[in-house]
Amino acid sequence: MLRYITVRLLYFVPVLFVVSFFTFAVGFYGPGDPIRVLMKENWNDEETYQILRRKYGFDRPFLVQYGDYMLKAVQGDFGRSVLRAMPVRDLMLPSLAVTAQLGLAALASLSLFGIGLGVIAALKQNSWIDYTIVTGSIILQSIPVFVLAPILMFILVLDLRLMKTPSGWDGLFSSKTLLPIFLLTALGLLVVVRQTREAVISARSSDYVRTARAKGLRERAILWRHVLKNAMSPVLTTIGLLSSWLLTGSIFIESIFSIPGFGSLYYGALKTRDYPVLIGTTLVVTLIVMLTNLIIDVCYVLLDPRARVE
Amino acid sequence: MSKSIRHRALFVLTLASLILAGCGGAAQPQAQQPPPSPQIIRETVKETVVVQQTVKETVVVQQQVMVTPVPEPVAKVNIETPPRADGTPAPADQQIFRFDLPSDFWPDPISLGNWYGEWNVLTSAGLTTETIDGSVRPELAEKWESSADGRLWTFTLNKEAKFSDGSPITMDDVIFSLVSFLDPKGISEGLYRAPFQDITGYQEFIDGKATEISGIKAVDEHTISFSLNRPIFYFPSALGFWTGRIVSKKNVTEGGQEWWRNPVTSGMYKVANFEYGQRNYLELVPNEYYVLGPKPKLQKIIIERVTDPATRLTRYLNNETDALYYPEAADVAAALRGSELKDELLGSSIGGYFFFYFRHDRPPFDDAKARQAFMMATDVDRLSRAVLEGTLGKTTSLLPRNTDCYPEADHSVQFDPVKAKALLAESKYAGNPPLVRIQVSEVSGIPVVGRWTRVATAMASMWQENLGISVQLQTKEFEFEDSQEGAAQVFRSSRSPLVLDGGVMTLNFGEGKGIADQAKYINPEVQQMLVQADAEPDAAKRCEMYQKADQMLMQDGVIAAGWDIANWAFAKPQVRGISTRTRWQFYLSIPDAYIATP
Repeated sequence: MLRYITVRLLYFVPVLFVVSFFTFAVGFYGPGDPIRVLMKENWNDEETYQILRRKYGFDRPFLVQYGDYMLKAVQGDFGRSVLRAMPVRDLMLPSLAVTAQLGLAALASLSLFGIGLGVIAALKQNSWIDYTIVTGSIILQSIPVFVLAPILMFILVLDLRLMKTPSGWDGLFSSKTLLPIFLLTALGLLVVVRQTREAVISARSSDYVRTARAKGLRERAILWRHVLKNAMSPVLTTIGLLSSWLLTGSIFIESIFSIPGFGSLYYGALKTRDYPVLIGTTLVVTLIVMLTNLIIDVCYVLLDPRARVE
Repeated sequence: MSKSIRHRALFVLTLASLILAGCGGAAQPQAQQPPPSPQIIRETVKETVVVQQTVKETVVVQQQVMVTPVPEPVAKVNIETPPRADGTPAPADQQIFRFDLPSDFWPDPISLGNWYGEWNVLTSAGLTTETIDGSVRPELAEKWESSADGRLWTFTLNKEAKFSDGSPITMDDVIFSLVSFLDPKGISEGLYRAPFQDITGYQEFIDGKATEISGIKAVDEHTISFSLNRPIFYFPSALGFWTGRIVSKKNVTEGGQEWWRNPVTSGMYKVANFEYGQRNYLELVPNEYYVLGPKPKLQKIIIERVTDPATRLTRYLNNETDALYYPEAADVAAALRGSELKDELLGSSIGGYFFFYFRHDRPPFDDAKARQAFMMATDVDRLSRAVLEGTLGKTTSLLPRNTDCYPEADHSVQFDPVKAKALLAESKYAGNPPLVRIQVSEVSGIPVVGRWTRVATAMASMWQENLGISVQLQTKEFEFEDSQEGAAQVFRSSRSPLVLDGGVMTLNFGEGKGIADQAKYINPEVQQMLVQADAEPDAAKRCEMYQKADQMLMQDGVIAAGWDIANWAFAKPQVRGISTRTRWQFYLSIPDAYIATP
């Protein structure tokens, strides 16, 4: 197992290298220019433009800039944001912590509601309860978050007066996080509900469950001991994959609720072509996705002995 | 139910649906009059065939002629909401004013990565500053004078001036602030240095040939002089800009790159609490050492970063903020139509413009008649009403609004599609006009169909209809992107005034400057006139010259179509004394603003 993990970790190096190279190349040769964005309506003042390019080191050849960036990046220095007047590292670390808290809370909520509703839907297969759960999940997934979020906000804040406007970040246990967590949960709910439902239905019709019933075990015991235990491994894989998505895919939710997380940092940098932030965040996202995949694979091996043999 | 009954029921339902559908369409009220459509009329003409100067025969033929009626003119959009009535001020502990900004902000009046940094006028003093009536008033400089030729300006500093920590504002602080602000190589980006580039020795300083700007000199402890390469009579106005204001040298040099996290301020407010990073939050309270202007009535100003417009609106509606800056155009339009927020709307046109400009070096706009034809074929007032929903009014002069120089007369080219067609026929592109490409980018830089894409689409259809030419739209994320392949000839841009004076004409349209440079516009006559105007000591004569240049520029098509930038905001009814009639949102009216009792 240790050898397997070591090999997988070694794979990270070339992947990170390739991702950083392509991100840098797209930033360098692609449309947009952080200096022109910084200059706003004075963008055509060529003398200032050249001075600022020199000041930020953007006038150097591509490979020199890339090499210099990577050399510093491996030491934890991702440069300085052109438009936010701060070192990229100081922007990334706190925002990563915010997104991680939000993502983990959403993951817990997703596991609780997704698995719970999936199991209920499976147990009440083809009943109105099943249809309601599946249809409800489809509806939640279908409405774009940038439509759903303002509507819910208007209803909860202005119509029902249940809360103050959820804007900004006052810690995970603040009431401001309820709506963002609900929306993150809603976005991933359908996948988990359907996966759980299918897995439970499949497990319930398997031979070992039939044998358990024949032995006279009660339905509840069958469900907990045999059905769920076997149905959970594909569900956990799905949730695991969703966890990296929750970390990186909360861009809209963070932007709508002004949450200073990783998603809004990435989105802001993308809009303004703030290269140092863009490259730094891309590298971190890549690392997170690879680590998550590794953790899922390891968990899968631990859960399912068949995978261990393979 | 028998089969025949089911069929009858189905037939009745279908019929009822058709009747209802027919009624539904007609019941919708029309928001606007539909544009006049071309009419085909039949007329009889006599056609005479002439062969070798001899009349051979005259035949009577019938032909169809397409006649497009000229639309009725629409009312001009005039943006100026009335001032609010005075009220009884609430007790001091209720004098709290809260609003959100849509992007990062930090207290730094010299380095301007700040996208919404105009609020820095609240915390930093300039040598001069502006008032809401568009004039320049002394701030750190008690008085100033110029030499007769307008090349040497001397400013006397207020000896009582102090920073928020109680330390005196010295000449060293003033020179440090101005030089830092003007140097893009240092802590500033030098983005607003255009009005100062004529200070003697500035170019040598930028080129690295000198370590200081020779034209900025401390005459004594309280007197500073600026010598200029050419006469500039709007120089005091340039010093009143929201950047280039005074910071504490000690604070900046000891504070390092992020000195603004604990700023010492020179303006009417000081920073009581500032968070930047995860949360962007600022609390301002009056600076008790400020003696350079009136004491503010508002005892606390709270600014927070809220990026999403719907969230900002919800906070405002839920009374979590007292004012809503940068509202969405749709919300402003709804208020103008009479939504529940109509009485809370504040708006004024200010001295800048959103505009489309021609590239004068690209056909067909290298021909003056073609340019005029395109301008005359554009019904800007109709675009203001129909597409911009009355949120922006037509630019009738390139001079800054709310200043003495702003002309009463409309200098813009008037919509006249018949004359437009005739002018195009007289241009060198008559008969074979090239494909015209309009490049549109939205302000936000987000590639979505926004208001300027809609305006460009409507403009293109006006040109197609009125001039019979082909127009193509190119959408770009940023204004500065200009692909040479299929290069566009018309671009969208915007420009805020760098000085609140007619001198803005030189900064925008002088040789190789601003908009003239973007549009590749060269007109030596106008450029000469602007240089002469800058050097004219008599204010009235100066205005006259700027106005003449303005008229020439507008008629010559330096811009294709323009709309005055309008400051829109919502403010709760209890907020009084507030005005958006300034270049910088409502910040300049803050000294007069207060919270009234309900």
